Amino acid sequence: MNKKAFIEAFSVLIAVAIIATAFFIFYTWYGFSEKGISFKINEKTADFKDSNALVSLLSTPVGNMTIADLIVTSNPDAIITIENTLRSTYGPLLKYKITMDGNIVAETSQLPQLSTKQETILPVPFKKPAKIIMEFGI
Amino acid sequence: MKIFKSKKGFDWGVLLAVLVVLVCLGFLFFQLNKKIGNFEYDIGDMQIGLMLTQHSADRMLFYLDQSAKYSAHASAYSLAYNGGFTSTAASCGGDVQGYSVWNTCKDPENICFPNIFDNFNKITNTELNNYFADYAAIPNAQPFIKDNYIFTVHDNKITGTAIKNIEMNVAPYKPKGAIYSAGRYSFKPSFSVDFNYDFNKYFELKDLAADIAKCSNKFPIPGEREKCVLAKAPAASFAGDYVFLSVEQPDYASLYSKQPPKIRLGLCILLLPVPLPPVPAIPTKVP
Repeated sequence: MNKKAFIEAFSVLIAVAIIATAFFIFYTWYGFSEKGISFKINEKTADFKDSNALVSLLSTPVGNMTIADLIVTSNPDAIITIENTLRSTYGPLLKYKITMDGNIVAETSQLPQLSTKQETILPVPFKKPAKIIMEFGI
Repeated sequence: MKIFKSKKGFDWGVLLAVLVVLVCLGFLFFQLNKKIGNFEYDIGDMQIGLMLTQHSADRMLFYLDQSAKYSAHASAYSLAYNGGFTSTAASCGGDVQGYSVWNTCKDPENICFPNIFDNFNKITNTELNNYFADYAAIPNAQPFIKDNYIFTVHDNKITGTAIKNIEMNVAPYKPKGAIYSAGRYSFKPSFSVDFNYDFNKYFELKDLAADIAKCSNKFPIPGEREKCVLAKAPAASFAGDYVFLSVEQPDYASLYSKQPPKIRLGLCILLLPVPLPPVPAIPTKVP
């Protein structure tokens, strides 16, 4: 191989390497950008997921009543019904704490480390409406 | 393409290819970067605002369902307590010892039977308005519309058909400090909740009341009208010229009360004076 041919081959090789590197950098950058967008979507989805879980729980029928009725009438069955409903919906590992105007209605022995907090207003016969707050997670 | 024919030119060609690729990639980079940087808000912010608004409406509808149920139950008790009227004073005979009187002493046999369903709807509406007022007192709460329902009771349910929709702003999203709203969210706050109440007892009482009222004039002997009444309604109580009934509805118990409602009503059984026979005219002597 003469010197000129070597230089030619070498320059082509360098050119290919530069182009490949440029493509690699571009691909990596674009991948990260896309990941950033995906992350935002996932984050919003996580925020949004089960945001109506409390209303679903409170409106669960129990005979001719709902769990909300059991709570406002201070029915002792409320605690076990809440536990059964939440366990059957979200599995046995779920930890939760439900309060009505600051008073604990039902809770697990351990409180959730990562929790979602939801609240709603509940009418109470002969009294002012009560604020129900549920924290639940794992 | 002279540039590729000479060996010298070919070297430049390779360099040119590299430059073209780099320029293209650079251009692409800036264009894409500009696009991504130009997002004014996070993807899905506006849609999530809309869905959060819908959930907010769901919470309102849940409050409405519960309120409507409690209102209907309270209304059943109130209606029974007031003898089928909106208040004891609203009856034709007025309030006597806390009972609605279903007739007048002037015409005891004429029973003024209440418009049960109309009065029930009025009381339910008032009760529901009270729950709405309580809700409106909560800070930042979207108010319900008062007097917004046409009620019907059928198939063990009470249905409230909303006349007007509730409108609210879609939860705003905040791109770069500015606040935008995706518009207005409108929903019809109708409801249908369980309500197992039997109104037939009132119609049975209507017949009984008419029967009892007949005791007023037919027994001019003291004590006989009481016997007449007790034969028809053994649990009746008396006060002066009035008889009072309190009829329990054992088949019904409210969600929050173990006691069934009692329909309370009064009847006037005034012993009207027997009209004297006309005095015969005394013949006058004609002098």
